[in-house]
Amino acid sequence: MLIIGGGPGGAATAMFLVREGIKPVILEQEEFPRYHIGESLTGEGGQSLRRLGLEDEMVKREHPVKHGVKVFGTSGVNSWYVPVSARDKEWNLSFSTTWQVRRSDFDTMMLKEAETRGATVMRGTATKPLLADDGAVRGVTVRWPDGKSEDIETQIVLDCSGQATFLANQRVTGPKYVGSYDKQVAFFSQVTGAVRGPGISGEDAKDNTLIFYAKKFHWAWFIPIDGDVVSVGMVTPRADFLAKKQTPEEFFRNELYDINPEVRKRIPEMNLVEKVHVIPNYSYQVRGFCGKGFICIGDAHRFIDPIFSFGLTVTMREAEFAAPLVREYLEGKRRNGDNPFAEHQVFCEKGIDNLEDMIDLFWEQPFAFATFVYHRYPDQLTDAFAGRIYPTEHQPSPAVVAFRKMLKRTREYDQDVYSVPIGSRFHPERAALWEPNSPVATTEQWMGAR
Amino acid sequence: MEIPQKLKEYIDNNRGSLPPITDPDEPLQIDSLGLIRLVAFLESDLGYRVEDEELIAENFATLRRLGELLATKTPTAPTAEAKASAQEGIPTFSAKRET
Repeated sequence: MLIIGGGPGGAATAMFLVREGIKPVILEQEEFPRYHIGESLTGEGGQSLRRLGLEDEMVKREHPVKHGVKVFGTSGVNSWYVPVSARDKEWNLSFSTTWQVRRSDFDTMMLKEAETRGATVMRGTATKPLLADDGAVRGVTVRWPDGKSEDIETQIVLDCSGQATFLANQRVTGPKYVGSYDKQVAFFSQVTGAVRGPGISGEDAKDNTLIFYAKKFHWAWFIPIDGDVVSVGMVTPRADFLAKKQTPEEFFRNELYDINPEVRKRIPEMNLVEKVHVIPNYSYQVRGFCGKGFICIGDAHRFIDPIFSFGLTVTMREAEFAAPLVREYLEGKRRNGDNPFAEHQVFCEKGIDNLEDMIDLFWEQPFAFATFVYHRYPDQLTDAFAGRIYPTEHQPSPAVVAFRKMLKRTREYDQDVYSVPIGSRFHPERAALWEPNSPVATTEQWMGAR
Repeated sequence: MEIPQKLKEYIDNNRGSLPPITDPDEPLQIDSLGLIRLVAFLESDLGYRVEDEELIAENFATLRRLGELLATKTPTAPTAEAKASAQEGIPTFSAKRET
């Protein structure tokens, strides 16, 4: 039983499998610790760590405690606070906390912990899947650090390769579609001397996430990752960056303060302690990401707009959902039919679809979205922001139903290829939504009717 | 166009230091957070139901636009929903103006 990728998805998958009595092998090509972006957990991400018995370790390592997210409106005058929440078994809502993590530390902790619990971690790169006659994945070819290659046979491959999307790139899965959010660029670094909240809990807690909203598809984040350092990032349309003809660092330093007046108050001086990284805010979705002998987990099958920090949470939750199914598969169950994990696949898609509808409405109709959050559906949206997004968690909630109605969007799941992804219905003839003087006003218009 | 007196008072009291509105086409100049509170006031205190599709800022731009919106509606007894959900210890979203 082989896991490709030793990031938090792979490590969490391994630990949930150990809980099921399975000791997997994790294949990781990089030496840890290594830099990675994606530093915040939502409420349910924290709960996943707690279920893995890692709370004491998180506290001992002094990962910053996140009580909520504060979102500053365009003028910097108005703010919204989204508290981290939890539900008990009776579905009663309560305040909770989760964590911010420096990924180099957190990922190393997760991988070491998986090893301590019984997983085997091997340095190497998966280069090619091995396929049986019926198309089932029966292993992978691995290139070891000494350059030698070897075929490894296994009953099931769990693809936790992140944005490398190993199995999708190898065409083992269904098609990989480009998503809605692919015209933006994220610039990010780390700063010292930033001004955090003055409190120890609630809205003003010192280690909360701050989001600075500027306008459609322009925003910045502020995520404390230890006692001194804050991760700061800025997302802008790629066209803006290209028009300025600056280096990424120049652009980041010049433009960050213009995102929102609150940014300067929070970051009085730009003491960068990490290089300025640049990545396209590239979103994608892989269809058919589960099948005979394989499951893709987390970014290995889908990446959406990262504004509400769902990445780590979704990955760890998918790891938890997959583990008992993998055990059953190894016990010889689920061997009939084309896709032994079809239900899991739709279950995961539905969860992220709920998120995607929420994020799209946030961008398309901020006033309606804010009214929903603040006035109309506060409980349902505190659930969504915490990552309670799956069919077993009262989803789609009336809030999500309302999002879809407003976006004039339907979601169908009763076919094998249940729909072309929302973000790709008009692909590849895309209108240039973010270019200056764009004739296209909304994502829905841009994507066109189905 | 008819604007209930309570609503006119609410708007006049929520425009910061701006004087009371006299022209129905004068922009209300209520910011986004203020608009959400206005929707809450319409629903919870005056008993109007604002449909999701009507939650666009243009419908709340002037007294005339607001009057046109409300002319399509019949108020019911105030629901006071928003007040009931603000119980202590239950996570809800809070919004505020920085001072």
